[in-house]
Parts: sequence; structure tokens; C-alpha cells
Amino acid sequence: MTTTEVFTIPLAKMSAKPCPGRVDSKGIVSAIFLALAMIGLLQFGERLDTLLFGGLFPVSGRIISMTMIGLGTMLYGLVPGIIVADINPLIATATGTSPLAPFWLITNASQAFSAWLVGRYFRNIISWPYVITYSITAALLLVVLYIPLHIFYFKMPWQKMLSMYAFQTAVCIPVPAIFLRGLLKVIRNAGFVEE
Amino acid sequence: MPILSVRDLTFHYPSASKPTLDGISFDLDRGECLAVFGSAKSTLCLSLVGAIPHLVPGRMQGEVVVEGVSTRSARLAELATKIGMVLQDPENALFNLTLAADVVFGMENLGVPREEMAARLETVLGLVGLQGLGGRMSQELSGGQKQRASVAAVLAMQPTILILDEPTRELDPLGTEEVFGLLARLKARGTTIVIVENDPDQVAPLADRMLLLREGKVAVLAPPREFYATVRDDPKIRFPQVTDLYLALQQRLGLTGPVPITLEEGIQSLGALYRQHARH
Amino acid sequence: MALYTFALEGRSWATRLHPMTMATVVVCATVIVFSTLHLGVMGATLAALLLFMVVGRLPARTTLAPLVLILPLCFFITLIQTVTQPEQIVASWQVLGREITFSGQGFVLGLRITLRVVLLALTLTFFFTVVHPAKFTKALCDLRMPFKYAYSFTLALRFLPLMLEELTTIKNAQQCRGYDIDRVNPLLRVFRVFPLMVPLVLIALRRAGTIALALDLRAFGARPDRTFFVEVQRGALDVGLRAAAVAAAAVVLGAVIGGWL
Repeated sequence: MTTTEVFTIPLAKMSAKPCPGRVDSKGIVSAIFLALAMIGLLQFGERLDTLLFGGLFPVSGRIISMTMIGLGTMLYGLVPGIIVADINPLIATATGTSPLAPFWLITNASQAFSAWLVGRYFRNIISWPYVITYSITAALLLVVLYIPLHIFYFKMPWQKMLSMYAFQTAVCIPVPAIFLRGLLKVIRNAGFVEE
Repeated sequence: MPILSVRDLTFHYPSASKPTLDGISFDLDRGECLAVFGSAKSTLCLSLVGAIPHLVPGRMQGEVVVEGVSTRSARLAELATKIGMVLQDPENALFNLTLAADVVFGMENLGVPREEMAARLETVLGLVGLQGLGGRMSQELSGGQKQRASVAAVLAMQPTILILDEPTRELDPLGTEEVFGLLARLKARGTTIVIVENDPDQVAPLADRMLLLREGKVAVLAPPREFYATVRDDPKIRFPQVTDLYLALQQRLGLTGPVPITLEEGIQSLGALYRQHARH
Repeated sequence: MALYTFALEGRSWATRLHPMTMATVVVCATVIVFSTLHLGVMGATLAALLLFMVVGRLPARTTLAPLVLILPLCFFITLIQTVTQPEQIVASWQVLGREITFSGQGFVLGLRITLRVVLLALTLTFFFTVVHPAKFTKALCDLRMPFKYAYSFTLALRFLPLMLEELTTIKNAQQCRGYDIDRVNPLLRVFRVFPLMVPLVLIALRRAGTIALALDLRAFGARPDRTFFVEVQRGALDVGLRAAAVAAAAVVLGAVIGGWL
């Protein structure tokens, strides 16, 4: 017999919840809608990413995805965070907007994993130490995951790409951290969080 | 035996010191239509349908019994076959890509066999006037069509009670007419209806009784004529235009006839009044 | 027109294929494309895909349009290979004290990788053109994925246009308040997106709450043994197509491992 579990959400006192997180209707649907918001916001950085070698070294996409995936994971847990992360690649593939989309299933999920993993070590995630630690972890993990993509898919000489990786990482640490902390504070003040 | 029974229903939202619903009690008979006005209407609707206490956090006291089943103890899926709710914005109630998929969605969740789903789909689409549109994309429907689709999706689960929370708020006048036409047909078929609606001209002819909530308590529960006569001095209540006119004239001219709530009744009573005065 | 519109119309035999058949074709094509950069193999794969498109009466415009979006990527892939590969240098220039070389082998390698990207993009585009989202959900449930996760994709497809509309409304509202992201340098827009991000996220969370309520009131997730109105059946064509795809992948993989390719 299915029982209904009532959650008080989003996360009380803004602490990270253990896996799997909030997986009732509200958690899942909220994750989907955060993913859709992410898709909408991604369009604002398309030109920058196109200029950066056709999307091989995305900066704006990474900023938006790190922010929104981190937000989803922090609000609802790991599984909803993975939903936020992986809806975009599926939709992008279904609507034909990017050939790299299937790889984002893994690279985006790694950002949710980073947010969840780092969150286990912080009591309060609406804090600079948490968002910066998350940004650093996610950015570095993304570089590590993109290297096999560049090597096996595109046969790129990854050693020669180090400067681009460094530029990408340098931009994608502070900006998502600032956005994420700002968003979390606004969401808390808007009453979506129980203290 | 009433089909819906509310006993001393009290509800506090989390960290709220005052109750949003305070000691609400009333019964609803099969086939009756109850219109709800005042404050905490949506909270009452959520309590009737079982969302409180299963989904909405807070403290609930008292009892809501639907067809002999308490909403506290029954599962939401079981309650969905007895009482269904249509939300304000139909956009939030159509989750699938096509109309047919939306109508069958609830049935699928309840494990209804496929053949029966097909039969019910045809029936409810005919009932709401959307026959032949099953293959249409949900987002291509007009506002009125979407709200009727939303009603169809709930009716497909065969609830005996239908709750509508401001179903025409997002609709234009044509859409509003379509929805109320549907509700009149449903009522004629014996469906029990609870409706929250701010358009008095539409809801007054439909309702058998009207409930006014003030500060979470039942202030007035009466048939429409009596209701409007009782709340005549309440500035927050909107009256049907013909009722408003009649009540204004009633005070000035000392009229004693029944309060009209439809245009036809108004024409009859005010027409008689005009003829009476015209002779003098 | 969204890709899945063709699948919803159901006018082609291809839309009646089992979703797992198309998934098998995609996986096998991916294996083939990643196994080798042999032009003959990739050319044959491309020919097979185009044949499928023609015979299946897939809408050419909708299906091939996404390829335009990958042109910048293809250009940069070819350029990077041309300037970074060390063999067969055909030209070199001194730019700001550094030597930039152009490799013929790198250019050809870049074109092959471009073809690989095109093939993968085409395969996935065909999948989503042909597979009905509801059938995809059912197929995932048949593979024992819980319905509430399998359904996420359909829910996302349904509400994506709505969220994009909301974003447009927010953009217009902010314009009225003096914040116009269209006037910002396109290369810097992402750094100024916060005034759009905040209201959009709040609207998303609020709407999600209402939709989740509506889902629960329709018994969403009530039973693990829910029924499905849409039917997904496997026919002889499915068996044949799966066998052909697996055989092709096995042959190519075998040839690569055996050193013939």
C-alpha cells in the first residue's frame, strides 16, 4: 500500500538533505520547473558560447547550469537535482538545439552530485563558504569530465586546451557562487523555505 | 444521509497563531450545489478534497467525511474517485501533450483497464462538449476549452462530488458561459457541486445554498434569496445585478416579494412592480 | 514545429515502431560512430539514416534543421584540428611571434569528426521525431523505471512553452522598469541575467506547487501498477530493425578490433 509522506519544504533551516531528497510530486515537479527555467535562461548566453569555439568551452551555459542545478539540489536533494540537471539535455536533444546534449546528461549530473556532496559538510548552505566550495568542486569536476569528451569524441589535444579550461574555470567559479547565494536568499525571503 | 459532512473543521497553517478555518460545520446532500464566498475559500476546498491534511502542512482538527469515508484516514487515490477538484488556472491542470492524454491521466493512475478508459473518454468529452478534439494539443485549446478539459479530466475519474475553485477567473465571458453551461448540465445529471466563484450572475441561478465564511467561521448558510437578503449590507459581497437593483428598490419602495436572483425573475417581479405603479 | 509533433500525428510506419527499437538503433549507431572514423563506414551510416528518413517519410525540414545549429561547432572542430595536428604541414604563418601551422591531415581529421558529430545529431533527432513521448514513458516504465521519473520528460515538454512565455513576460516587465537585457552586449548578457533569473525562479516554484497539487489530486503515483492508454507493441519490423542495427554494430566493432578498419 502506498503511503503519503508529507514533507515540509523546501529544506528546513536550509541544510542539505541526505539522498535521495524530496521525491514526492512537489519535489519532482519543482525540479522539472527549475530545469525549464534553466532552459529559458540559457538562451541569453548562446552567442558567447558560440564564439567560444562553437560550444566546446561553454562559459555562459556553465554559469547558468551550475547556478540552477546547484539551486535544485540544495532546495530538494540529490535526485531532484539530477532531474534539474538531466531534463535540459533531453529537451535539447528532443528539440534539436545541441549535438553535445547527450554528454550533458553526465556532466550536468556531476554538478548535482557536487552540490549534494559539498552540502553534507555545511550546516547552513545560504553561506559564502558553501556556494564557493560548491562552485570550485563543480567547475573542477566539469573540466575533468570534459577532457575525455574532447579526447574521445573530438580527438582534441587536451594539453593544448589547458588555457581554455583555465579561463572557463576562472569565470565559472565566482559568478555561479554569487548568483546562487543571491537566489537562495531571495527564495528564503519569499517564504519558500521554513526556518 | 448527506454525501459530504464537515464537522468542527479547524485548520492552522504552520506558524500561524490564528486558525484559517475555525469550527466549520455543514452537510451537503447528493445533487446539491453549494456556492462558497468570503475568506479561506480555497483552504476549505483543499480540506474537502483531502489535500489537507495529506499534502498541505498545518494542523487540522475536526472531520470531513465524504460518502462515509473520512479524509484523514483515506488515501488520496481513494478520495479522488469520490471527490474531484478543478483548479483556478486550467493551464496548471493539463499536464499532457494532448487532450485525450489529459483526460485519461487520472484513470491510468487508478489502474482503470484500457477498454474502460476508452469508453469513459468518449463519454466525458461528449459531456463537456469537446467531442472529436481528443487528438488536439492541450496548449492549442482556448481558455474555455481548457477549463472544460480540466473538468473532463476530473469527471473521468467518476467522482460524485465536484469542487471548483474559481473556475472562470482566467476566462473571458465566452469561456465563462461555456463553463457554467457545463455545470448546469452536470447538476441536471445529479452531480454534487461545491463552487467558489466571484461572478454572482452566473453562480446564483446554479446554487441551491450559499455559504459565507468570515474570519474562518460560517457566517451565513442559506438558499440564495435568503442569503442575499441577509448579507445586503456586506460591502464585500457582490450581488447579481438584478438582485442588487431589487434590494435597492425594496428599501425605498418597501417591496415584499421574493428576492429575484435571475434576470427572468427580475423581469417578472420588477415588471409587476412597474405595471402596478404605472396604473397610478 | 517541435520534433515530437510528427510522432503525435502518427502518420508514418516509423512512428509505430517500439521506442526500444529506436533506442537500439541509436545505441548501435553511436557504437559504430565512436568505433571508427573510417569514411566508408560513416558514409554508409549516413546513407542508412537518410534512407530511413526518406522511407519513413520523416519531415526533412524539421529533422535536418538542427544541423544548422552545429555548423559553428563543426567549424571550430576543424579549425582546432588543422592548427594543432603536427603532421602534413601545408602552410605556416608567424603571428605575434608565434608560429601557426596548418595541417592537411588535421583538416581531414576535423572533417571526419564533423561527420561524426552530424551522424550523432541526426540519430538522436530521428529518435525524438519518431518516438511518441507517451510511448517513451511507457517503454521506460516497462524497463522498471518508476513512473514519476519516466513521466518527467513529458511534463517538461508540456510546460516548456509556458515557461518561455513567462520569461518573455518578465523580460517585458523589466524593460518597463528600465532594465533591458536586449541592449546589453550579447557577449556579456549572461553576467546581467540576475534580474530575470530571480522572478523566473520564483514563478517556477510557485507554479510547480500548484501543478504538483493537481497531479496528486489525480492520484499521481498512487499505484505502481498503473495502466496505460497508449499501446506499445513490438512487431516483425521491430525485430528486423533491431537485428540489423545490432549486426551492423557488431560487424564494425569486429572489424575495428580485428584491425581491418
